[in-house]
Amino acid sequence: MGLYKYYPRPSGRMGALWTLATIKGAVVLEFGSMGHMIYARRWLEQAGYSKDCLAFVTHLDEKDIALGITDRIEKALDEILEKYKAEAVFLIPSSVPEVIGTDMEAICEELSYRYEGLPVLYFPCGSFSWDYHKGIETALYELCCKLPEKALKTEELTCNIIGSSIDLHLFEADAREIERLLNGAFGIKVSCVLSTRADVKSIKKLGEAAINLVLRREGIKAGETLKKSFGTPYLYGRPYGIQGTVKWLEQIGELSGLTVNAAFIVDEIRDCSMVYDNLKHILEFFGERAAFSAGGSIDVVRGLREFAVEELGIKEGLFWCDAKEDEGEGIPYLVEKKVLEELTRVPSGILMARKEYLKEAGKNTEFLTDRGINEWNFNPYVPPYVGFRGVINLCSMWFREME
Amino acid sequence: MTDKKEYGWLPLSKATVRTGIPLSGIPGEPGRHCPMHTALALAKQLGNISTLVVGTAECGYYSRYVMTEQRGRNGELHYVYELDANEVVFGCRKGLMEAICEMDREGAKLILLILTCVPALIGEDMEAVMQELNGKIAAKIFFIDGAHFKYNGYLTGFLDTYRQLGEVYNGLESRESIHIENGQVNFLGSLRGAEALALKCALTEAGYEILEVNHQDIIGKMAKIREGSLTILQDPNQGQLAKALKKPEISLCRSFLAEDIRADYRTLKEMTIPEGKAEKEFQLNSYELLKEKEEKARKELKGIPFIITVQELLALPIAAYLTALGMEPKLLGVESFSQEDCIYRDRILNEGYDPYLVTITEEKNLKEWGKDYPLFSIGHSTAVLESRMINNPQVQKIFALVGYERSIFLLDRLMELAKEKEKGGEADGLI
Repeated sequence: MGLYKYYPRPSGRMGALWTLATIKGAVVLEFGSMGHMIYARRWLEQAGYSKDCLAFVTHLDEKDIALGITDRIEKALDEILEKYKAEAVFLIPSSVPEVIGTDMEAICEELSYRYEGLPVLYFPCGSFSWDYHKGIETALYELCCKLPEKALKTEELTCNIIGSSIDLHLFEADAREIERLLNGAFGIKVSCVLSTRADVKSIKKLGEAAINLVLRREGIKAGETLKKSFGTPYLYGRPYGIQGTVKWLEQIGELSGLTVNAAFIVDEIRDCSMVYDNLKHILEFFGERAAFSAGGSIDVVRGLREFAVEELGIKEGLFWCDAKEDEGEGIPYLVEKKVLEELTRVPSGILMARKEYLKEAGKNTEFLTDRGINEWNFNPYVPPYVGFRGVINLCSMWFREME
Repeated sequence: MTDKKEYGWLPLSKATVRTGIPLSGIPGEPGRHCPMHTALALAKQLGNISTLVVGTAECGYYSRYVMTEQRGRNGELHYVYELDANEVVFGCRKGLMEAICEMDREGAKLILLILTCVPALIGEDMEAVMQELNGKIAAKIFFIDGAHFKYNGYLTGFLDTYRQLGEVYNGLESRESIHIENGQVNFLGSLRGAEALALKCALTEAGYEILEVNHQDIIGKMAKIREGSLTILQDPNQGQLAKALKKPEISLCRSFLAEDIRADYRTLKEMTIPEGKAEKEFQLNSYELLKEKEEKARKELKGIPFIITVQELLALPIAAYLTALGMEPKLLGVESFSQEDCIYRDRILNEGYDPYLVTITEEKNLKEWGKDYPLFSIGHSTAVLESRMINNPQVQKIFALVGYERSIFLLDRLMELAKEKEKGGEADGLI
């Protein structure tokens, strides 16, 4: 931590809020100053969640802090529940109660008695050493621990997607593509996209699914919990590239015992072939001059690297991830200062990263990995990065860049 | 009063200095920004100020909604200092000083440190940091305490940034270089409209130089501003700057009644024009016109209930003015109640009214409460029909004016709305 010239990594509290506030039917209440929530609501609105988002903040003042008064939480909840129909309440801390050591868990327990029948869950995500990855992980884990109810598997095969979050560029398009692939390859329907297309009811029914697809490592703990509670197997990974997508579908087949619809895959690969082959062709001539670099969330960076470097054979450039616990496999964790240093000698070619880094390196600012702070998700039908349509999208982007 | 009490709003009669103003309801829409937001917005507008937001990731990350670029148009730096878990316990002095030194090395000339909730909560001693850096860096530094838990909203971000700027420049040069008796009048705010122009001409004719200080050029004028011998305050946001300048001051912004404005102008005349030099009263025609308008307003606006949702620093003076003309104040949106507001509180109470003071953070309660009244609103409110409100752009236009002209425009607009109301339409002002 320390000095940032652009912006710091979002905190655990922010990660949890981003994960929880997109869930329909739930009220999210933060105990803290109101300034943060105004910004958070804007961030959620830009991601496309203005209507469904029921995120509130109590605000607090010096007296509350000095005397440890927490009445505002109860009062706020009373007022909110009078006006909105909530199926669950998610209570999250802000930085202030974390410093003064407010026992939010105990308050949550008290509230559970007060609102009998209404799940009131506390999300312990306030630590100052936690970043948003940890916040997302905690939120997903706690949701999967506390909300799902005992259930029988559905007759028709269904699955859940775990770990679709608004911090990633094209999060919505990626989730849609995964749904399309599952339907096309196996006829499996997705019942819950946790948490960007989820509601309280669908989270309660998480146990009914035959399989869980964990898209990012922050969802592994949640996947494990569901496996333990309901015996649901899970697959961790994001499908990038043709090889990566086919392999991913085969793994789902193994896990679910279903046979992949080969005709679907053949058709999809045929759709990709024009741009895919043209890119490969151009790489034969100019490949030496261009390298592929990427930085951001580990699952995205790893997936993009596998596709660009291992499958397409683009020269390896600079790779980094944004969490210490994720580094490995040749992808180091770099802090902002180090990234800015490295960008001065990033090899020519394609760079996919945060908008500010792309700007700093003088690269195409549309090659994003993370959602930028001023990014608006007006169009949910943009092409994805993952799956076969992701292949078409990425190959066209890279082709244009290399041309 | 037969108003419902369940919202916990504060009746004006109970307001004293530093009484906490209750929120209109649970912050939802619109909520209220923190002082960091406005301090950054102001610094961006003023230009030539580098900023360092000191706090948690929340503050630093979202500060990019305001400071979208890390470099300003004049090369200013806009950086963030995030406290880690260790600094939350043991303080961030060392790291912060290193960060400031780095900004100094990179060419920042004037750095505004914006402390947010956590550094304010742990009590980081910024004065000590500044003292320790004194002489070690070339950049001038100043700070504001933007902890949101100390305030209901963002106004402090404006007020304190202005005040601290005044303090920085006051402490820069030796007192000898200041010409106390020179002929410069500092006008804090914009000189817009015919009356402002006339005021400018009158002072210029009397031999005074006018230094108009507004957002666009304040930094460039800070050294010069100290040479003024009188401050005229028109922009209430610059009230703290006026105080920091420690010059004789006349506030034109809080007067609305014709007699009050006349008294202000008379005081101004006494201070600036030698006795016997200007026989004619300043803007006598406008005074008379406003008197006429006030008479008319007493008939046409009588008994109309109103709320104020904007111009919070002037909400009480405006309400006192309109109350004196027979309107009925129901609710005033403010963040705090200051010493200067006491006189207007008493005026309103003496007229027999006791409006609520609230910080507007959501409008659902407001809408529900207002159902019983055919309200007019000064400033936007979703709780009032558009045909019953002076919307924000109109308010901005009116409040950019000076003296009689401002009051005349305000009354004209209100009387227009009253005429519309008389013509018929909706049964009350609510949506």
